[in-house]
Amino acid sequence: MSAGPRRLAMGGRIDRDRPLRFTLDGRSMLGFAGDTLASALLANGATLVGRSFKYHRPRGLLAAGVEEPNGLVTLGSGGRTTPNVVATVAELYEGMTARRQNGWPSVGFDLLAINSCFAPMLSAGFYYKTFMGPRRGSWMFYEPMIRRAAGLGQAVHERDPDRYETRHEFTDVLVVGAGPAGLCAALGAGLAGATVLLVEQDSLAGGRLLSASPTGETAQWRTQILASLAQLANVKILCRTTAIGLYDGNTVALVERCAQGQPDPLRGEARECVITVRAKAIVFASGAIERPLVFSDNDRPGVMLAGAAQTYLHRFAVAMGGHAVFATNNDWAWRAALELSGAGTTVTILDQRAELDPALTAAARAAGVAVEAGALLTRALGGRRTEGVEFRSAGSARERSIACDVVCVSAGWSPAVHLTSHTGIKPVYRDDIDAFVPGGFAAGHFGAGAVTGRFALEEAARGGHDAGIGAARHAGYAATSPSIAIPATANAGYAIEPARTPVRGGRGKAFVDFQNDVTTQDLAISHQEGYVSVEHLKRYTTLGMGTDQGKTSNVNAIRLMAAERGLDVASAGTTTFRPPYTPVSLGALAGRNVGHHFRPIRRSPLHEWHIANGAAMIEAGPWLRAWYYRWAGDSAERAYVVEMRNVRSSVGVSDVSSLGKIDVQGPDAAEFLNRLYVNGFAKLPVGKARYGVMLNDDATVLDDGTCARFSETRYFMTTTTAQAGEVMSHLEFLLQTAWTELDVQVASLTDEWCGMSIAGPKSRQALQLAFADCDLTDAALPHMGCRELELAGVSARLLRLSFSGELAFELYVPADYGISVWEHILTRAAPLGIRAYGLEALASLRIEKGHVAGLELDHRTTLDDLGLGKMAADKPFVGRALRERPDLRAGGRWSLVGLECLEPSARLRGGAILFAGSDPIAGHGRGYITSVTWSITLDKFIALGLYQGGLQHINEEIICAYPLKGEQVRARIVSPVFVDPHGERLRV
Amino acid sequence: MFERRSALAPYLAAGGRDGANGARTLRISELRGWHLLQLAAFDARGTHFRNALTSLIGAELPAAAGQQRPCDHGRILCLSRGQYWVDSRDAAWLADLSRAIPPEAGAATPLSHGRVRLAVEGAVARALLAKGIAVDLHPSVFRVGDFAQTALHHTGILLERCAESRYELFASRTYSASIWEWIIDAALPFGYDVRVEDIGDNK
Repeated sequence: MSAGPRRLAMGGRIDRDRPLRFTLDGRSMLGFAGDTLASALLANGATLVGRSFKYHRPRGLLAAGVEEPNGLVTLGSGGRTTPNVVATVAELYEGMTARRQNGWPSVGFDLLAINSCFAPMLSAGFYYKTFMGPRRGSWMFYEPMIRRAAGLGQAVHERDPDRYETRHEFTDVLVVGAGPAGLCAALGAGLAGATVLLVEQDSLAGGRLLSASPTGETAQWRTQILASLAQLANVKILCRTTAIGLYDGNTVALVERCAQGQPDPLRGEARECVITVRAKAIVFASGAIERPLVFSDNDRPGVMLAGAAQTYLHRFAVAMGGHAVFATNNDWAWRAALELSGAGTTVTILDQRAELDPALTAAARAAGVAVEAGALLTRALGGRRTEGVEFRSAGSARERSIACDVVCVSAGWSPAVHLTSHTGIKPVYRDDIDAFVPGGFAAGHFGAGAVTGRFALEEAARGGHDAGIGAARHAGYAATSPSIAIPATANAGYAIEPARTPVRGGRGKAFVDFQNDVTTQDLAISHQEGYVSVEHLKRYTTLGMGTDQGKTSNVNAIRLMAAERGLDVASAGTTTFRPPYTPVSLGALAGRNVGHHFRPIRRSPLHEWHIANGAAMIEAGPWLRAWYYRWAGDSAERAYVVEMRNVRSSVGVSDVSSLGKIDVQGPDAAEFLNRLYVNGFAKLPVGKARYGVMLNDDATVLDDGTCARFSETRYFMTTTTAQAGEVMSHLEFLLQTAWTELDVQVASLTDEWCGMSIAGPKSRQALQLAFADCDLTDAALPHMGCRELELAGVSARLLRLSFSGELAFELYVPADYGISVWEHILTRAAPLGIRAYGLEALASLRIEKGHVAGLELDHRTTLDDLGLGKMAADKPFVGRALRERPDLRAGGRWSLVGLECLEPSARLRGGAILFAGSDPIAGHGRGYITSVTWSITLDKFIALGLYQGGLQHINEEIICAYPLKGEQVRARIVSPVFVDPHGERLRV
Repeated sequence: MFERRSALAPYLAAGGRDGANGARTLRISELRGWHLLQLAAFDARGTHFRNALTSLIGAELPAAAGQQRPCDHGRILCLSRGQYWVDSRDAAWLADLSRAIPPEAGAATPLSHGRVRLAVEGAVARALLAKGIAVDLHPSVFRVGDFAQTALHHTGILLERCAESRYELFASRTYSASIWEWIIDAALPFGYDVRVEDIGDNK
């Protein structure tokens, strides 16, 4: 297979001993190690790389780096399919499969090119203007079609099998960009003794040095610098690593491309790694990006940046064409033109400047390069490839033409200010270089090289070295690093004149933003329609909103916009640069937070037992809890009823380890709790527990729970599972800010103790069988009593309190003993029919008993709303003041009621909206159902809910409407305590 | 009569696996046989607390947060102003210490069951931990004996560098399975062995 018609026999930084086979749209081609997909395509003569976004115009490669707007391809297959890969960045590997995008049925023969005929309907903001009729709502008829046509590549729905890693790095000095400035900065800082991390987005270090001859003086200088850096153990270089964002605290996000080809995730090989770097000082040496000229049909395949042509020649040994026209406004492009001429290409230079540097014109003459001064390129000729150009000379209206097969354009260089702008420092315009530079640097930030508008090699190298020294000093090193040698040929000038755009009215479209098909006409329309600010211009035209983020279009657009508004460029402003600098794969952002690693799960000490004994588990916040057990049924609906019945008639045991458990200790602990809870705790006796409610500052209920007193200074607080973290934070906040005078310490014990609730009329017998030596009589452990004890040498805490409404005990043992104790109880109490019961049954039992829980404690309900107003004692407590707000005292608030279903064949549903019998069934109603269960006691559906006026309406019949299922069910308002309203079962 | 069962028992049984190059360059262990007590002084009684504790543990207290000192039957770590962890192999001594802390001077809270203690050991241990811990682990910064309260996989941990290539971490028991899964996933490219390490006195 041939190396390609455009591949030069010698030169470049490719390895001709390592040929690589790849395919483009199924057609086999050959490239070499060191190629990008783009360079390999050009070498093979493939100039058509895709179709444009709206008009489906044929497009070729414009650039050679990340700024490429046209060469977006799809790589890979199956779950590894990656659309919109920039071909100029994709390193070639053996077996690469590439597909061009946005053409139907193919990019080569694209029927959708007919869109160009409808261009007037597809101009800027067309979706706000066209496709709006013939009647209201018509847009939604067109929208799906437009949406399908939008975008370039297509993602797949298959799972991505690859692995993406993350890691943290710390360094004294981070240097972004390994071009000449960055290399010298790293060397300067490294020799000063600082730890240095030098990152480079390219696969090789060198930046613009890689676009020069690989055998020339600058190439040798590059080799020497790299060798010097390799000697320094404190300098680490990461190539293929892009700095995508700058954040506060000198934090920079990097994306490292770890693997080319096919990494093996089963061996832990990662495709990409996101690195969070924290640096003491940062040197920004991120270089500059060349701008294209704006003229008619400037998007023809074969029109490319002058610097790109130079790169393809020297780095990839690709000859761009037989006859090249260079169109420019600056001196730099002449060097590229002369180099291409030296490689055998016939070159003509069109320079819009009338006055030219005599040294340059002399060099061109000597090289046989034709020059037209004062010449303005007006149009590129051709269709799917460039065939020539038209231009006008100064002072003449006559269009002349030149035949050529490649047009190399340069409107100057734009410093890559994106990263330096991420923390809000806006770039500023410099008219000497006709470009924007960073508007300043924060303390500890340094800039060097092309990013600061210093394009000459000597300037960049010295500036980089100085920046490296400065960064090392900022990091605390006494930097006195020796100076570095710089090639004598390094000092070349950069004269430039602002680029002129041919006046509108010419044939063809003049593109400003290639990727989003934004033309000069679109900018004019935007201005005419009042979108004059740069931010509006961007959004209305979508200029700069493609995956290239306008890297080759922003500055040209600002110039054109300024001209429309009659402003100078400096006054026109820029849009806001935001991370990421280049597109980041979703896989990289997810890292290893996928599957069961998505977030951490909290598991009870009894988790292993639940799994082994047929529990169906359910997520409850961060926890996995036993939902129901298969001994009781094969679905939650069947099982919870059986489990409930066992508790009400015999005894059940439930895992309550997820309840928040907080240790409260100190001489002022009683006072602390007394201020915290609405009810009194100051006089709670040792050996007793009490149910308590705590409020937010605004008097809504924060949480409820119990608090047991084990000594004069030691308390054991329980909270709901959902609110445990918030309550703990609340306690710490109060102790650290509001009540610093109290001698109290709190500590979370949620992980320390395994908790189990043994509930049912036979619960005392069950525990007595398990722990024969314990006195569990009512006298020894009355209702709401608590005790610390030893169970066969294991410390334990036993509380007699009930959530279910039955006689019940909560036993807490150190977590590692949980399974052993639990199994012991189940084994010894087996003759009583003890069985485990899950969260569903636990919740249903408490509904029957009328206990409020999370569904009622939603941070909107007050003590009085929940029927607990009488708990509030006459003492200061958190929330007391705002409890007196008129709104919270108003009659008719939604407050707690019980509901009994009156229709045997129907059911009540959580969230159902409640209406009085005479109300129209519309709107928000008078309340809603908070909790529902089938009541084994009443043999019907019951519920708790909030209803306007609450129990003032007891015994009234209401409607429970559930619009999602079209249901309206009659129910009666009753007391929320359906079972044992006098608490007789609790006090046996 | 009652047996302790580690939160990681089912996970340890799965054993280790080879890494990308067929080797196992890490050892990941659950440590057992240790006991932990959290002590916290009441602000106004700081001097009383320090004097009492110094006498009880037979050693001066660490001067500042992030420091530790050996003491009778173990060591004491200062987590923050007035807050300490006492790590000991002697459960009985620790229980006595807990009871001996004057209740008017400070709070004593047992945490021996509330934490799981893991060790990650090997030349690449630092590289593994750097995948998820935002602490500068460079040997010159995070020295042997240094510890830090930090986060791993969205949960709070205490990380300590115990030896040249050995790190130990205390994780919350209820999160320990997720932490274990995170660690062995991160260790996949390196290869790892798994073991239980009994560091207690009563082996």
